[in-house]
Amino acid sequence: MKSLIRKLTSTYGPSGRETAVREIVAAEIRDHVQSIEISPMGSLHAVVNRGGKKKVMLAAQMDEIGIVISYVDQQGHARFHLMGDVDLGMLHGHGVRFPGDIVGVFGLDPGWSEGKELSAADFRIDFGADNKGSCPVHVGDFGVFERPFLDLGERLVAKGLGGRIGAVILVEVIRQISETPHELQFAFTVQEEVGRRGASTSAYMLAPEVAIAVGATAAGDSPGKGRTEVVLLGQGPAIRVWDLRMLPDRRLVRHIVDVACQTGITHQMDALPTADADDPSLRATRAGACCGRISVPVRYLHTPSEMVDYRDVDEAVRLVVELTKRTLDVTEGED
Amino acid sequence: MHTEMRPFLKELVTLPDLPSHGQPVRDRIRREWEPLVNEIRISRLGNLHGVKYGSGPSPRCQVLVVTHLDAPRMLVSEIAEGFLRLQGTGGLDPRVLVGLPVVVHGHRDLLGTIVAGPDLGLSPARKGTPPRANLLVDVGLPSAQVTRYVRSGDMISLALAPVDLGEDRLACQSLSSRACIVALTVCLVELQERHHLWDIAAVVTTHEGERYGAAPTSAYVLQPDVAIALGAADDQVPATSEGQGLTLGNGPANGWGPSIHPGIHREIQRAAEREGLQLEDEIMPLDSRTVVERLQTVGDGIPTGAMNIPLRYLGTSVEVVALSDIRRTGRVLASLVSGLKPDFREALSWDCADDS
Amino acid sequence: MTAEHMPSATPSAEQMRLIKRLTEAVAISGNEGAVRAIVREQVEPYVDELRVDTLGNLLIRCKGRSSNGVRVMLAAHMDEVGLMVTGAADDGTLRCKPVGWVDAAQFLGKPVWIGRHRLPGVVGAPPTPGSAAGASANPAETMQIRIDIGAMSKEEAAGKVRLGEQVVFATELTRLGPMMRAKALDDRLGIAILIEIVQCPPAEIDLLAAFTVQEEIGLRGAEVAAHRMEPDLAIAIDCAPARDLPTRDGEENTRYSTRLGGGPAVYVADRLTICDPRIVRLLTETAEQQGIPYQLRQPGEGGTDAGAIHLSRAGVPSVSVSVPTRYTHSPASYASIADWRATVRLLHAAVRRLGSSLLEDSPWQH
Repeated sequence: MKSLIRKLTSTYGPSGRETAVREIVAAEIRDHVQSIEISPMGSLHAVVNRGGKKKVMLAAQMDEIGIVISYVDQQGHARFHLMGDVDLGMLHGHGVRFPGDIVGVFGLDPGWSEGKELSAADFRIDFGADNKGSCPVHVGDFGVFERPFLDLGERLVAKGLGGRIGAVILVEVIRQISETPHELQFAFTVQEEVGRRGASTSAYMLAPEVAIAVGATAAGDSPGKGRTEVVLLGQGPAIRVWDLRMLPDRRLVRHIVDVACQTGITHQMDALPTADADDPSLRATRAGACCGRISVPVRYLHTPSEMVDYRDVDEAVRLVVELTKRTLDVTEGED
Repeated sequence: MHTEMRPFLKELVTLPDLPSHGQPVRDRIRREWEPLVNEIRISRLGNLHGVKYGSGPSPRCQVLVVTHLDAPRMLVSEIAEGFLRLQGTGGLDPRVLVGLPVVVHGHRDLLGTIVAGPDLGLSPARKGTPPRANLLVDVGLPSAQVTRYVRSGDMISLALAPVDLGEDRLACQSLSSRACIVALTVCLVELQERHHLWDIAAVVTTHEGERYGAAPTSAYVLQPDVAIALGAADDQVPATSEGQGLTLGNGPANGWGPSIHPGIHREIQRAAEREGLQLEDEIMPLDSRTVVERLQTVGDGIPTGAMNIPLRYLGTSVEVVALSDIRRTGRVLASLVSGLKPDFREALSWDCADDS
Repeated sequence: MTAEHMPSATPSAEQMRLIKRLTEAVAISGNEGAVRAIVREQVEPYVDELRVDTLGNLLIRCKGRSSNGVRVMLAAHMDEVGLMVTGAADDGTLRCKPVGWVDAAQFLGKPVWIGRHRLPGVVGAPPTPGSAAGASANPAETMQIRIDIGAMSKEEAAGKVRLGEQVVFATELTRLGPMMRAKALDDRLGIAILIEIVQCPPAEIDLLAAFTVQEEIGLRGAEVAAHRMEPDLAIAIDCAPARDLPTRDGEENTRYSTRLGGGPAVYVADRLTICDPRIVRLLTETAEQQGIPYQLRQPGEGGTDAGAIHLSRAGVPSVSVSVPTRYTHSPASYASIADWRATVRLLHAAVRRLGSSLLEDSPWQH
């Protein structure tokens, strides 16, 4: 699975431009699923065991955080706008990549003073050009972080890990599924980073009764900082109990925890006060779906160098596979 | 009905709203509604749907009256040395939290109190209010026992008893949801004696404390022709603030704004006049405080109206409601339903506002 | 596509009169009746289907020649930002609250129109520090907008103006050389453009024109219109802020958004929508072929009806095109007449090039 993580995180795929990622995912899963369908927005839907009891959607995003060029100045430097939640404090000196092998470097305006709040307007991108005409990018070009994949053994570092790890997990789950009582709808969604846009349209098309989102959550255990959250690297996948916009369904949460305990899968609870994900629009589309979320803790989330513990990813895959094997009797209702 | 309302309301406020523990409040409402409606069921997301058929010929139109059950949650985020850290405020004004008695719904129900931990050098959110990060629940048990019974994600509910204030008023937490449920019940009771052509779908929704509440999913399933959102609104308007205030004892208020269909506003007005009542208008120019905004844009759009019951000290542990307001709301709703003619929906137009 | 039907680059007197009527109409979010009436009168003879939906959207269909033509939704919003009367004060003034994203301070010291019949009023300004009353001129306090209609008492005011009545800037359209100055250019210009397209609809596609309501308070009309129309793709026609004024110290203006005189602004991405790159490309290619000037709106802030349309049901590939406008949501916004005409011409040509093959083009299909 490490090579899949490397492949997917190295691919260029900011929100709205996920084509290359989608093509890799499609190639990886094609032989293991009954059908592949692309939504009008570009999300990829794959079904396993069509006609099974209850429709269960497993959703992960394909996009990563990025930027879009908004201006090229007379010196040939570019200004940009954020596409997603980018940690501005980490940008200075980091690389940014555009299609066509174009690479530049973020530079903080020397005129910026400490104490003033950082905004995207305080940065430039330097392509080594010295005038407007020789700048290789134009207004409207989308860029992503540039940094090579780093395998540190148990820990992996890459750009786009937060964005792609859910997709990695679901691809691996698809490869490993044996039996399931349910119709499993795998949704690899677009444009999550800019406002969870792909998820609601996918939920509309698939109309699931249960929806479990798989992705990343911020780990609170970066060295040197005081602990602010309770999710730690190496403690297994985190099962969300609290979210800024909605509460995961209690019965579903309880079921996921029970399955983890029964099968000896290391896990932790995720009650992050600022967490925000696909889930709210999944809940409220059409007749609604019972929602939950399983996340892999990621250190340095929203920076170019996101870090996961490989064992957490492995356990997350195991957990999702175990869930698919069992009946999910978690919706209320008398349908 | 008036004498029965108070005990029913008190029962509802003392039952906790716990989806993972079989939902005792919703079950109690269901039992109360079962003899009053033709169909009753729980939706996929846990909303309660009760439908009473009208006597008009099939296919009949349907008016949806929706209110919510729950408030934003409070739950255990982590356990620190036997004390419980809080996630969420239960929709309460933070100023009232310290000192409140609570029940922690873990493996066992445990009684506790919300307390303020020592100041960690964080600046308070508001002068005189402990910052939220410092709030803890003390259940009085040794740390080992606490970890046996409680885990992260367990719900916490308030344990205050309701207080009778004079003949007509009641003070308690969670009144904003419970008062509306009682009003809706009054409506169903009234409709046993009144002739009505349209169907009424009475719905109590869950997940309401969240931004994407579950009300639209019920509207999607029921496909009503008209929807009325029933809620509660603050009666206290400080002298310097803008807009209207509702008056306790003079409710309910009839909503007006972009999310309100002018034809429905007018129909609510007429329904009240038939009961000998003159309703105050409540202006909702930006986002309304009920779910009516979300209902209006379900599918191809639903004509919506809103009625709000005045509450004093909304968002605190001692919300005050006037029982007469609840009763009046139920009567106006019943009058509205029984006044709807079969061609009402077709004749409805946004431009009717210009007729006045 | 025949050149003789191409809209003209200079407006006729009748077209200017329509813009005047539209911009001077009083129609805030939730109260769009005045504009709806004008639109209806202008388009009814030209359309196959017309209906007014639950929220007041005016929904139009001009059927294409072939039965499986691409369903194209064009949307422009009828509402403007303004105020709503929330009560009468003891001194006879009216209390108000803003409707839509408008800085309430814009109303200070300005004349206003109240209601469709344009009852005149003025908004006074709170006294400045050092004056006799000594109250602060803190803009935060201007949220308490008070309108003076010359009434002496609460009862007199309440008798003249209904609770919930709408209030707008009192601005008549004025032509200033190559520019127009008016209130509500956003989005009455879009309305006028859409009217012109509907009056000469393309034969190749199923044209679904939505004159929407409540855009300024959350794209609410567009949401239900798109749900009803189920288009294959959509174009929102709006007005984009132009901040192309000189900066302090002559620095480069890096956040101009759009420029007046630069032609229609095609969106790549705003705060709510990442536009479908295939439709963006079609628009820019059409402009280049037809010799119509155009610009790319700076990505980032703002939103149009496309924000709601593109997420409807299973999703709808969408783009926005705007007329650059200075000082939007103020008593006096400016737009270039040439930009307006170029926008009509671009859309007129572009809708004739839309076909189902556009959406089959990679990168979306497998």
